[in-house]
Amino acid sequence: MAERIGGRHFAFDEWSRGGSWLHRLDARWKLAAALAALLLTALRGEAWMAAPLPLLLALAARLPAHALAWRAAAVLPFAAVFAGMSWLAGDSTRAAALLWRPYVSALWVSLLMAATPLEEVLAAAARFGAPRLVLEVMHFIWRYLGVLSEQAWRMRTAAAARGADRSFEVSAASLAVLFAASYQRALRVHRAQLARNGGGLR
Amino acid sequence: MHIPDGYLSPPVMGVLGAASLAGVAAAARKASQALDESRVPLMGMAGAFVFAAQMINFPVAAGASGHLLGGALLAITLGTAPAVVVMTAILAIQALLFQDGGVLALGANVFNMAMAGVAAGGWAWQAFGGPGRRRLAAFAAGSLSALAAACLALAELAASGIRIPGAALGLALGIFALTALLEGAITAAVAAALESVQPGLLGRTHGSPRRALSGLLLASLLLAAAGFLIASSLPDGLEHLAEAIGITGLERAVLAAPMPDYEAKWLGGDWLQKAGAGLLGLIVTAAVCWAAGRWISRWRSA
Repeated sequence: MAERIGGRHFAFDEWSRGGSWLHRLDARWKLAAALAALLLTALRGEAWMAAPLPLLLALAARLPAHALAWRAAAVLPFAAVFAGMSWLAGDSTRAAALLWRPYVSALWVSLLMAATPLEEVLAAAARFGAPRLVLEVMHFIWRYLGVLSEQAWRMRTAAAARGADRSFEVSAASLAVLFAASYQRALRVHRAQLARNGGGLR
Repeated sequence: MHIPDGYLSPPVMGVLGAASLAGVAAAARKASQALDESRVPLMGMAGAFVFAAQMINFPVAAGASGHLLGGALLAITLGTAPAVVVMTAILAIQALLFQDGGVLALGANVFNMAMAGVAAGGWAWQAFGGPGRRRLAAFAAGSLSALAAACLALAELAASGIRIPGAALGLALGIFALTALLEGAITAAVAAALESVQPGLLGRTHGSPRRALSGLLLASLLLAAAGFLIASSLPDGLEHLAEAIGITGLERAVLAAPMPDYEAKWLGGDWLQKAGAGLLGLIVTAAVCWAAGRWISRWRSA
C-alpha cells in the first residue's frame, strides 16, 4: 500500500536513454505502433501468441527483457481477482483472457516507455492532438515526483524518530505541511522559469 | 480502482473515451482561464504531491492502513476544472510508467476518477461548505469522490460483460464503502490541518448546508441504488432490458462485419446487447442524478 517511490520506479528514465535502432525511431511511429498493438491485443483472441514479440523487440534493442516482463506483472494482482471470479463461474476461456490481455498490454506499454523518453512520448501525443495542458502537467509531475517523494519519506522518518508514528493526526499534519511546501515550491519554480525565460515542454 | 487494458468491451471503451476527451478538453480550457500563468507548476506540483502522499500511511484499525487518493483534496484546493486536469495527468503517468491502469482504458479511468470523482468532490465541497461546516464538507467531498469512482468502475466492468458473483459484489461494495469513509476522513483531516498550516489554500465555498444535506443524501442514495441495480442485474437482467428496448436487432447489423471472431472468444455472443443495456443504465443513472441536481439547485434558490 504505502511503498517507497524510489530508484526502481525511475528505471524507465535510464532505459529510455539508450541508443539502439528502436530508441532512434521517431516517437510518433512508436506511439502509433504501440496503440495499434494494444488495440489488437484488446480485440483479437489470438493476440496472446504475440506475447513474446515485445520481449524479442526489447532484446533486439538491448533492453533488459526480464525486467520489463517483471514490471508488466504489476497488473497481475488485479487481473487475478477478476480472472478467478470468471474461473469460479465456470468460464475458463474468459478467465485466461482476463489474465493475458492486461499482461500483454502492459508488456507493450513497458516496451514503448523503455525505448522512448517520456518527453518524446508527450511531444508525439501533442502532435496527435492530446490536450497540451495535460501533457505539460504530466511532464512536471514526472520531474518533481522524485523530489516530493523524497521529502515525504524524510517526513515519515522524522515522525517515526519522534515516536509519533501510526497516528491519524500526525499523518494528516504531515500531508498538510507537504502540500503547503509543494505549493511554495511551485511558486519558486515558476519564478525560476520566468527568470530563465520560460521552460517546459517544447 | 484502475481498470487495466483488455477488460472493457469496445463500446464501453469508445463511449467513455469520447466523453473523457471532450470533458478533459473543456476542463483544460476552463483551468487555463481560472489560474494565472503559474498554473503549470502549481498543477504539476499538486500532482506530484498526490503521488508522494501515497507513501504516508493513515492507520485505521487492527494494523490496517490506507492512504490519500487525492481527487477530492485537489478539487478543494485547486478548484474543480484544474483538479480534473491534474487527476488526468496523474492517471496517464500511472498507466504509462507504473503499469497501473491501462492505456486504452485511460478514457474510462479518467471518466471515473478524474471527471466523476473530482466533480463529486467539488460539488460536495460547494454544497456543504459554509461557516463551521468545512470539515463536514471535506469529509463528504472525499467520501463521495471515492464512492462515485469505484461504483462507476464496477458498473463499467459489469457492462463489459465481466461476471461478478453476488457474494463478491457484496464484498466489493463493502470495501468501497470503507474506502470511501477512509478517504473522507483523510480528506477532512488534511483539509483541517491545511487550514491551520496555511489558511487560504482551501478553495472558497458558500453553501446552504441543511438543504444541501438532504439533497445530497437523496442524490447519493439514488446513485448508489441505480449503480447497485445495474451491477447486480448483470448479466441476466440486462438481456431482458435489451430485448424490451430492441437493441437485439441492432446488434446483428453492427456486429456483422468488423470483428467476426471477437464476440465468440471474448464475451460469449451477446456482448453488444449487454454492453448497450449497461451503457443505457449508466446514462439513465446520470440523467437521474442530473435531474436531481437541477431540482435541488432550483429548490435551494427558491
